[in-house]
Amino acid sequence: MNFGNGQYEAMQKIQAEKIAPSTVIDMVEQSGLCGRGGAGFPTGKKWRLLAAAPGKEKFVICNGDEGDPGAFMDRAIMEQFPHIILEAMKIAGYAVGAHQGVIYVRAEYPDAVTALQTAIEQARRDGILGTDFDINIRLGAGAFVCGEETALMNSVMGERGEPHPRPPYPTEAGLYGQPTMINNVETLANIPNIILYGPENFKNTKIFAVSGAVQKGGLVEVPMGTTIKELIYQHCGGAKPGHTIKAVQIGGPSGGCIPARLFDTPLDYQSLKNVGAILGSGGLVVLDETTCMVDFAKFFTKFSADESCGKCTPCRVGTKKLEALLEKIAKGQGTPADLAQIKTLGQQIMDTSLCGLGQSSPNPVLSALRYFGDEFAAHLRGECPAGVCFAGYQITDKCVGCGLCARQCPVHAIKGEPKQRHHIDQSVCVKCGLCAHSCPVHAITGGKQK
Amino acid sequence: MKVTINEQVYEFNQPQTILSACAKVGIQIPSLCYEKSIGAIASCRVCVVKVVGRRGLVTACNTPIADGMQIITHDEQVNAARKTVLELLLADHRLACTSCGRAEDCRLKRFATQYGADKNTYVASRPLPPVEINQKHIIRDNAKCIRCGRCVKVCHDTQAVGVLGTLGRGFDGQIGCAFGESLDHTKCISCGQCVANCPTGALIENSDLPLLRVKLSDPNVHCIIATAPSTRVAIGEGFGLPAGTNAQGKMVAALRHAGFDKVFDLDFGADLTVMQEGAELLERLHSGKNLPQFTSCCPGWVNYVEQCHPELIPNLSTAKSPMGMFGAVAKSYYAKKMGIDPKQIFMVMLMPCIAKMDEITRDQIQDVDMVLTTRVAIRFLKEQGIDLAALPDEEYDNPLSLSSGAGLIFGTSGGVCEAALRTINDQLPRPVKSIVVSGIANAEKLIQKIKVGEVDYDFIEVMACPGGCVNGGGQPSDTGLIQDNRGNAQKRAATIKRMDKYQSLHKSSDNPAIKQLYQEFLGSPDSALAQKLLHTNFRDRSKK
Repeated sequence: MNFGNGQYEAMQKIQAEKIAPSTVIDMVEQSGLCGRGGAGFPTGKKWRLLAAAPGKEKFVICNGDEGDPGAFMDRAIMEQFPHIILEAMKIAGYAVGAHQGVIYVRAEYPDAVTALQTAIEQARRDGILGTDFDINIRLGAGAFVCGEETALMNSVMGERGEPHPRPPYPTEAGLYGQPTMINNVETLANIPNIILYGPENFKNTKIFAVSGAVQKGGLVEVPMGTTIKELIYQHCGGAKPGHTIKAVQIGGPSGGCIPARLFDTPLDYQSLKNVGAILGSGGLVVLDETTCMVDFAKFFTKFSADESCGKCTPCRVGTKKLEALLEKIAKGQGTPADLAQIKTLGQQIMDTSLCGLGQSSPNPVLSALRYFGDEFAAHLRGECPAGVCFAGYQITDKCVGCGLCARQCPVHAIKGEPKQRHHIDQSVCVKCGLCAHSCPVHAITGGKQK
Repeated sequence: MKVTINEQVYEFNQPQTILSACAKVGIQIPSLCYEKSIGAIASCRVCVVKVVGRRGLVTACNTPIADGMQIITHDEQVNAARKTVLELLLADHRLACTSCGRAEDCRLKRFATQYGADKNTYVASRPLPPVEINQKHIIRDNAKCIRCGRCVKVCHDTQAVGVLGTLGRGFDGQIGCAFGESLDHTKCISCGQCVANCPTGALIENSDLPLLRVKLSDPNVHCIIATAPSTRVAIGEGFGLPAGTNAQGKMVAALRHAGFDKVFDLDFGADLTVMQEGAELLERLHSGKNLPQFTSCCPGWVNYVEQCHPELIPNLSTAKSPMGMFGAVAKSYYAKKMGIDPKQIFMVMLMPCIAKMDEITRDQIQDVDMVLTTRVAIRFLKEQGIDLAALPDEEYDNPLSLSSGAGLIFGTSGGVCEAALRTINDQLPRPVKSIVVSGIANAEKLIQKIKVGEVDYDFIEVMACPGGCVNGGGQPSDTGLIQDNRGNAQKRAATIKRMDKYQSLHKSSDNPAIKQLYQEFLGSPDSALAQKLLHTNFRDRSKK
């Protein structure tokens, strides 16, 4: 991506060549640019909807509420190239007939806020902003759901950050009831290039924030359709020495995990959807054998439960119950019925939730269950293959069959014939540890405790 | 437009939601957060249906039908999803149906039973929050709250009071007042619209039925009850009669069966209020002072003025409400006439209103001992084994029951204003500009217009509940599939208007019982005794 030099060349080109607003929209549409925030809605189509919407006042909002854990693409753009966002918003305003723009930035990005503020002041000084188009900054107070566009607009208006049902769509009745369009930071950052170099030269690249178990993490910009394998092994140096990559997690708490055997999957909207993940905003966490997939699913489910705004039942209560079920499994107290309940409940949360946050919140757990069912099954037996969860106690083959542990067990969870290896019934075991303590030959081991 | 519902094609002419279209063709879709006048909130997700071509399930309450739409309202996936949503709501619910005041018309219980939802499918995730009992006479039990958001919306949008909101976020969020304070520390006006619109038992009015039982069974206590105009057209709904049924005679019979020594008609009190308030208006029109005159028979509205617009206190009519006047007359004139010690009288009021419970705590309304809302009265009568619907009609007791149509129409928005003007019409010094408004948000808009001088009136009737007392916070909620409290209220109002038409007396001043009261006891509306017994005062409660 060419971030330009802050000279507003694309805007000058529009002015010099007198490119009509509708032509600008045509160019965006022809480029094939899709929203980089996660949903992948065609940007040109969105602009056209807003341009066609009747209304005295229209708003262009830049969504800089980058909330996915492990994603920092927008942050880099806002901190380092704030003018490109202002330029893109001004172009958008020109194309759709809006005179007011709002940049919604999370307050956790103070440097981005400063950079944008400085840039806005500079642009106003130079007469770029403040004449026919002006931009204001609004800070988000840290709620993940405010990245959802209807919740974002509520937040901008000083209301609770809760989504509302669509229709009406923002392009019909958005901010202050006026037609509004919300574009992600990275989406907007592509606009000046499309105008300047023509839609036919648009490379359709996507920035990924790669982190986790790779040699080189960071921001990587690759063309859409690059495979996961290329991204991880060619651009990020592959696994850390002595480790094996087993999966990647794409799309933050709304996305899913993809196992190593599917690393030939191209990074584009549809292919990722087909394997149960989403492109999302581009956060990509690489996982190796030291990550427990139950623990991983628990982390993201807890994140979604904590960040649920609480408006609709399935997301508010459903994610909480999913988290409880995963907690139970991680402790080695799960049953096959719990796994079945996770699958059913997860699907129902997807089907019935109000907004995108709830609808996608079961993705991490459902994809983990789909590709790493064996790890979940191991937890039911009281084992955590990655050694992360304290899943329970096991009696190893060192057991001499003395029966001391069975006599010590307060809940009679240990059974076995004399002089034969004993076994622990994990569904009965309360993990008190008396057995391990009493074993004269140290045959009883507990899973690693975090 | 043609819409396919469960493989059957239907033709609809009007644009509407899937929920309403399905109800029209006899297909029942459950809904918890949807109430017609409050509008779609789409938070409960119980009304989900399948629309071919749409991802996941969609909520019927806010999705409009479209030509060619194919809808599946009931199949394995949809039913299972509804059941799960209900089970998620039940998991952390205080399941106390047998002792819950809402059990008979609880929508959660109804649909959970319909879908076989089990409380134990999911483990509870937190200890049950405590119950808040406050001086506003509204019991808030967040352990029964399903976070549908209706109370918040009605308090904020319809009533412009906005004391209820969501505190915190996500699962740990709760409905409450700012900073977790009790309703006592807010400008809640006790209108009870939140209670009337709560689909579960999370919001319910306080009631002291044990005290009532004691008083009714005590032979030394003379228990009398007066029934407010709008209760007779609503109480029957609790016993299966259609909304808007005039159950006046049955109600009188039922209350007598329940043990009340005398059953009076509060329409008599309303006639008295018309006399006093009308005289007051005439006086103000002559002097030109303190105009416009606002009505003050609605305690929710009075609370609002005292708490939020103390500058309007001089404009409120000083006439007591019908309830206040009736209580005063019962414990003076009636007691004397019957030779009963006023201390032995236990005066109960059957009211469509929760704010009336608040009103009897005021200094000048001490003659009334208890207020029963229509909803609580239904519960009480059922507890006493009385099937109101099956009883033959009975007449009110005398002497405090004879009333005019003017008194009766107090029960609906516009009634107080019309009653007063009907009665004093031929004495008006000039044409009077009057307006009626109901719902505090509407009243607030009017106040603002008056303040900027956009409009100018002489006489303004305000009722806090939208549509007036027929839609009061203490009235039974609609139990229809698509809940429509306002629709029921309109039916009740229509009955009241019809009854007024058939009344032989139309003006309060023509009521012989009222004439007799003035002749025998009060003298004239401006006598010292009338002023003492029938008028009250208000105080600035804006700074607390």
